Amino acid sequence: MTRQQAEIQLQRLFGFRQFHDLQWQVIENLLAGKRVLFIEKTGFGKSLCYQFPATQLEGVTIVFTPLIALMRDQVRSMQKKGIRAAAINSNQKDEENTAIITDAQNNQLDILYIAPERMENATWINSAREMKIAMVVIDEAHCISMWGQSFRPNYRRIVNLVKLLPKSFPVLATTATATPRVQADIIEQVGTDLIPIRGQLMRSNIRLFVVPVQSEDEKFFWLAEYLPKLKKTGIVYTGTQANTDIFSNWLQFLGFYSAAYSGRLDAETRMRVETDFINNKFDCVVSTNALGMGIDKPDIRFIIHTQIPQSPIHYYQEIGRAGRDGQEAFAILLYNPHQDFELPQAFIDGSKPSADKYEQVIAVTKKELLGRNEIIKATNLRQTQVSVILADLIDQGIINEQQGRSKKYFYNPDAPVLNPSTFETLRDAQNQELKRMLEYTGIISCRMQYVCNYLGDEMQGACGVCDNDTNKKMRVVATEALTQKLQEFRETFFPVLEVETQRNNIINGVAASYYGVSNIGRALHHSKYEEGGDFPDWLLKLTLKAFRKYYGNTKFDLVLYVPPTESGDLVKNFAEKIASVLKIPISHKLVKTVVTLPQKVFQSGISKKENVYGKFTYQTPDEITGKSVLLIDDIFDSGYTIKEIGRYLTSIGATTIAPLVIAKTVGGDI
Amino acid sequence: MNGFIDNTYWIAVAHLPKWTTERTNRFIIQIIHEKKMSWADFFELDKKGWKELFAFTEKELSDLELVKSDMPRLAFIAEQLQNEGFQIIAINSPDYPVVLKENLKIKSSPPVLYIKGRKGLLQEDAVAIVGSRKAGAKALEFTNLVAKKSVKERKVVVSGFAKGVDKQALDSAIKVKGKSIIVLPQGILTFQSGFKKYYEPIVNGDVLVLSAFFPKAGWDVGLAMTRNAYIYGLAKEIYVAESDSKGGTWEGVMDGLKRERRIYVRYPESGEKNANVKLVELGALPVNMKGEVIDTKMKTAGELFETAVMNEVNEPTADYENDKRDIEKDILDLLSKGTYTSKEILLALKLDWDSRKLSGFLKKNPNVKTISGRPAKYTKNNVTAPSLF
Repeated sequence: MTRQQAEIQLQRLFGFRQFHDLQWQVIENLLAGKRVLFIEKTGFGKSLCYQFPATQLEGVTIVFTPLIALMRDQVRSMQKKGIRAAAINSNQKDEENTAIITDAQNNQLDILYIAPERMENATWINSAREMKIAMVVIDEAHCISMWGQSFRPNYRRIVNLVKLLPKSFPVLATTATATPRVQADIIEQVGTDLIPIRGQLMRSNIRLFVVPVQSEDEKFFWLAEYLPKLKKTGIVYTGTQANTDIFSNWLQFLGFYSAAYSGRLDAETRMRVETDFINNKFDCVVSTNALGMGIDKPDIRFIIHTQIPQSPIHYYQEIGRAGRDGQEAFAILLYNPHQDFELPQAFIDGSKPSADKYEQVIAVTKKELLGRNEIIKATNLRQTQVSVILADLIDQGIINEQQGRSKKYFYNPDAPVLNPSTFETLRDAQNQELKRMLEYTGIISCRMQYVCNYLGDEMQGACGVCDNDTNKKMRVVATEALTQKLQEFRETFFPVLEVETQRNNIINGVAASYYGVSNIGRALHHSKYEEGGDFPDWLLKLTLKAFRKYYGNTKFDLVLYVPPTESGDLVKNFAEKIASVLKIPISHKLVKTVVTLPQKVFQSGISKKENVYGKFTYQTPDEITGKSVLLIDDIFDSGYTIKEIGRYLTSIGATTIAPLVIAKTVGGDI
Repeated sequence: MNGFIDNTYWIAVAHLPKWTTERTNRFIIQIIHEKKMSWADFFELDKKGWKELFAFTEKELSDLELVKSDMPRLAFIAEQLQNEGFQIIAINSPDYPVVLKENLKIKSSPPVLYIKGRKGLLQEDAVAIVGSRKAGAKALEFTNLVAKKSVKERKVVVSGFAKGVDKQALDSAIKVKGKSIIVLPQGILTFQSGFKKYYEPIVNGDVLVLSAFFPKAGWDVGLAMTRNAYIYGLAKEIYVAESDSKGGTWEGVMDGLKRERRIYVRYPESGEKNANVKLVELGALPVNMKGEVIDTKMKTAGELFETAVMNEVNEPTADYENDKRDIEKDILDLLSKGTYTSKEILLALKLDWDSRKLSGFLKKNPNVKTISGRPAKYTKNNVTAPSLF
């Protein structure tokens, strides 16, 4: 097919007159059965490079993409043009997915989008075997490389598949962000016949700013001062999930329409926030970096980072979501040089567990064929750690997966010894990247140029629009009014405890504060572990304030409290005071059936859940029937204890279980 | 890292539909050794290209075209195998067991082996212990003893994962921490429960699971029969615990004898209902419970009948090569002792006739009685076939 012929088809099918030269270069290679790695900035039109060949090749083109929103949007727009496109994902009903698979098997589809984790799904693999596949596309291909900022273990199987596909089979890997190192790694993994084609990375409509701040408070001040001035809408990125909650509430407190977004939200809420965000219903969304990658929104006007990212690649990837329509957009980094490097540093240091933890996992997999949860229980390691360890052990050929009803991990009898030096190398590289990111905050030359150079795009001149090029700076001015406002916010902001389920009568509760914020954690620790006596009265007052704000005039029949594991009568005394102020009867009959170990001993949610399951009883259960219960505890961490009590009380007839605690921890293993 | 890059091609080539093993092997030799081509290069060509370079038949060409278009599907299977830690050992690999190639030759050596386990086991001396699924207590005890003896001699026990003798051989070997190879009558991806059950010995490197069939193939009689040949092929010594006069074990021994393998058969006690003695008559070597070759002349009085048979079979074969050999007498002597098919007669007497010539001869001979059936059997007139068979 010549370019001229192709462009006739392009006009007919897509309504575009012609390809960019670079697009055609990619397409020409694919139509000739070659393999291409295409590195090009967001908004360039990378998708057309596979959408078009998909309509020309016989069989179905499979597009692996982690972005469900992108799937949705692309499928919709292609279907509008009459192109046979569909997506399989976990947000759709099983029947819907099955029907789509059948269509693909019957050659009724040109292009099929699926999430990379489908490669872990036996049903999918079995059905994919029956399809006539024309081409494979790996979107967000930087996820292949562990040198990339968002390495995903489930890309490994896509790479394996691609390597096993016949040589003359077209494959396209695309990404907007790949350093030369990531590019080299992708080529090494996928195969040397992968032809790299690189576009230009400069995004001259994005205006980069760095705002140095001296404290966490100054970030709150800056937002209060500058958010009104920015054209809407945009994203405020935070480093932790708790901070999405805190900053979003701060902005609401100031009168902005904002929402918090993180991986912790359920799929439905997430989708609602995404949709409202796309439709400009918010002034901004406060989010961890979970938001954005999948959002097909061309008119994001600003990206504010309240926490410095781990590397310039992370940063480029995250700000790249702004201004895809080519209009002016702001990318602003708030940076506190005194402490902000700590969080990314901790991420890097904690990204690989210590070698003895690897050995622990190896030892249990040698004994028995186990699944992930069984390994977590057997080793008492954190879920996240076990996932990292399993991925690394698979990568090193020490264990293999075994597909079945549930996935198991099979120790390789010919296994090599664990090689921890690869983790060291990775850590060194990550430290270098962080150093370059920190360096970015202090440069006086063009910021966009700095980032592009880092990404291997050496050709760029200055962008002319960043703070350094224009010599326009944004500064924080801490006024008395703002300081007071922040104080007021802190005293009236009470974190919600998300424990509601459809299975029982527990409802979301409230905490007086986050554990790490202000001096609450300190006070609790003093009472609990330093024999500091009862919790102080100001905690009581704050907790009652939280109760009134959150529960208002709700009436409760009974106060119960979580029976202690190790801190004696502290919670009992505290609950008695609350009950007497609120004039609700209190009962002491909720007890443990056996002595349990403190939850903090257990590293994973699975073990915590098991530690408390069935361990509570109420001595005269009839009393609970028909009652609404206010359930009191001191610290809310994973929430498993509260949830278990909620489950139990529901089973003996409680109509409502409403949790009230002094502090909610910031971390909390899922 | 490049070890598995060819796997998709190997799966495609190994299971070309309706190609005989020999045809497939010749094809492999032609491409890989004679033309020094990689599979990638070969499959890069189309029908026209293949036609120019090779002398394929039309059917073969269309088979190759079909398998070429099937490649993405096979890539998914190859990926699953790779992900789950199965290894594909192609016939040209240094890991491919030499003994298998020596025993089965180009005619029947499987082009590809799928394995899970420590692959070093494939290079160690192996003993096969075979027998019926419904083997009696004596046969199982024999299996147990021979398996343990083999372990003591640091040999690998090969068996077929059927009930009865096969399972006994495996379990006995594992019990004394010996090494074992399980040869599957099915595709290796359909053996999940077995991998769970034998997890520890596999992980420790004591058990290796092997299949030569399409990874997704379910159990099948045909596969089980073919599998028997592989068990024999992998072993240096073959012990038969118990055989019926038909079925997998029997066919396996017949095939082994045809290939002039040494096959040891447990010499049964009187009253046992099996065809062990018949195997001895056909050329297998009788052994006692410990697996030691016995001189059947020393048999107890109760086994006189069998003793006579033994004498016949143990005669030196050299004389048969001689022209003056009285074939008719030899045949009648043999037939006076029992009922045999033409194939069995050829084997026992090491005749180089084809079986049609022999059956013609037998049917014309007035002293031979034909017992119709499939296959037809023959015996000497006036001789009652022993109830043992």
